[in-house]
Amino acid sequence: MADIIQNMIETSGFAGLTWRHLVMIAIALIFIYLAIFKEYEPYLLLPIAFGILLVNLPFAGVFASPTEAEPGGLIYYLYQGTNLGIYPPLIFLCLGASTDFGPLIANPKTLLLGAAAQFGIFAAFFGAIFLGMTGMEAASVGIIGGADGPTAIYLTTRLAPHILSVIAVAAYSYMALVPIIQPPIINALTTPEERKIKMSMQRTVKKTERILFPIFTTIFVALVVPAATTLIGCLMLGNLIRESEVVPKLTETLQNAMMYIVTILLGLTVGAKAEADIFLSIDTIKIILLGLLAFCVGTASGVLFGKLMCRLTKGEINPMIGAAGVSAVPMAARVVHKEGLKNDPTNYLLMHAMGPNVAGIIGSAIAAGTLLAYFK
Amino acid sequence: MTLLEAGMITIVSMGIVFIVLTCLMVALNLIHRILASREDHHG
Repeated sequence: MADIIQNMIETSGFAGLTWRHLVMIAIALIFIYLAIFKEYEPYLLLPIAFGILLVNLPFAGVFASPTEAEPGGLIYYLYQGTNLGIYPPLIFLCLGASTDFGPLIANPKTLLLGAAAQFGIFAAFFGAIFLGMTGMEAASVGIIGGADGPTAIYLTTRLAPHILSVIAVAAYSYMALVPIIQPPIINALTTPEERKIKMSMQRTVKKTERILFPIFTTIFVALVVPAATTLIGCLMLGNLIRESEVVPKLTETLQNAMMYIVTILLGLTVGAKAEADIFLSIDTIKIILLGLLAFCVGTASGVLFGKLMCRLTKGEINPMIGAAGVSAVPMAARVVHKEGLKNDPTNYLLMHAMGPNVAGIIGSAIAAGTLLAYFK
Repeated sequence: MTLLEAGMITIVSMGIVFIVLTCLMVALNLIHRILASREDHHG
């Protein structure tokens, strides 16, 4: 009897609990709190937090690799979808089906704002190299500035999988904090007159244009940056499915059921990669700070390029919409719209800001492709 | 990796991002013009 009790105590999770596990469990609980009560990216933060919790419960073996005697833990198998780069492109497929590229097609100039805002990626990349990180780690840190979770996860699984959980948490946390990070930068870099600029109404986009856009973009991007083909290809396939209007059930499935299913799998497995040794290190602080730098520089470069375009077009472009170029769809566009309304309650910038906002998705995927091509 | 190499990667990558998106911009303008002229032609 005593042996049985002794054995149960030794094999229980309590016996293997260390202070590192306790800290990670506390972090998981904080994330769960933020997701539920503060609604910070709850769709992703909730499964990420629960993944952190599960993997830091000793002896649970949810992430155990298979052996000859044991088949391996559930999350080990689910993680292969992240590890092999399957889930992020699937999210892109769903994202493409949910994205209206109309504002971008109506005003193609905004593509340049989506390009300019990618400078944040390379500022953080540069900063990470300066702080002594390897090239692959620096590229993974930099891509946080793309403000695009799936792109950040995709690139990190390819280049530096050991810091995946930190990158994912930083990327999604900053995306949730866009309404706090961006307004001070926008206001510091623009004058009240610039913020009041009203943009002319967008033209109607023809169906042919909407159909040609994903096809042409896929062919062109794949030829110039082959490493970006997976992400851009899936994004554009999703968009073609949407714009073709011949498969509404596929569109609906991608926009809803599939998006949520893949999000759970991605979040859970990314969270489960949060091992205490990596997460509780000085590198985590560096990554968090560099991620913030990436977001700030990306926003600033977008706004500054917006100012340049405002000058060149003689006031046609409100420079604030450049801030939406960091991606973070549609949060960044909403922030710009809100700032516009603060300065002039009749200035509706949402649709204008959606142009650079969706251009940012393409821009960050291309930036990820160039980094992937260099380091692989 | 040196800071110089990081700088070179930054310049090349940003260059590629700008070139690709500029080409897309030109293509979108072109498609719009072609479709508009075809519409005009057909009255």
